[in-house]
Amino acid sequence: MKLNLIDEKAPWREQFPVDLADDEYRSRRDFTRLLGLTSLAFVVGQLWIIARSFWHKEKDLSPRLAVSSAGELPVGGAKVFHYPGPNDPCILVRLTQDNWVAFGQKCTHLSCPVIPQPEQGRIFCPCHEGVFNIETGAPVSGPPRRPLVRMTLKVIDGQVYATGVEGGEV
Amino acid sequence: MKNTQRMVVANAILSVVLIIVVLQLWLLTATMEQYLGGDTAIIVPAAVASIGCFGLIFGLLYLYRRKLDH
Repeated sequence: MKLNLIDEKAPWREQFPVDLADDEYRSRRDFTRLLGLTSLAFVVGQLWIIARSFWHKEKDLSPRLAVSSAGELPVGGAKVFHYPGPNDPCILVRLTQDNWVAFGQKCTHLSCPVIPQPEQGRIFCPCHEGVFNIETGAPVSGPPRRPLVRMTLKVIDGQVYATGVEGGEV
Repeated sequence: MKNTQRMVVANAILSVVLIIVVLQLWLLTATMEQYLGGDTAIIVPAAVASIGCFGLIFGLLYLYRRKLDH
């Protein structure tokens, strides 16, 4: 039996009311809509990054926190403190008599806590053997590709204060 | 223009749009990577580029829907 494809009133049209060409047309239209909305979503993502960056700059008026007194830590000593919030662990290291550095304690690879090893001039992550330079926080070897977040410090009257966060969040 | 010729052009436009969308995805992930690494200098140019890509896509899809896909 030959089907009559032109006949709009054929009985099979009740179950298959959309022609193939029309179906493809609608599929293409849906695809273009999907592409357009996906592109728009990426633009919104970019604008969100700008907004977030701006918001964090506004918020970056970090409080000053007394971390240690100069006599508390010997040269080569290290101490854990929390800054800027109670859930942001950081490490303070005294490199020389007058040189202090502080970094966020989360490894930039997978957030394991890093361990300062001043005698070897490095900060070590035991999880995947990542190594950071203890003076700059820059990654030296292992999986980490980004430097540790660095805290700005000020020494006032023999007291070491954390005064801000360099390079984003802890 | 014949229908088959028109569909070839239409498919070519859709392919170009798809490539630009993939480029935008790459741009977003690269920007996010730089931002999380503390480099904020790149985020505004990247956003401008992404908006440019969106404008291009919008124009191509407008052309596609109005002129080609009937």
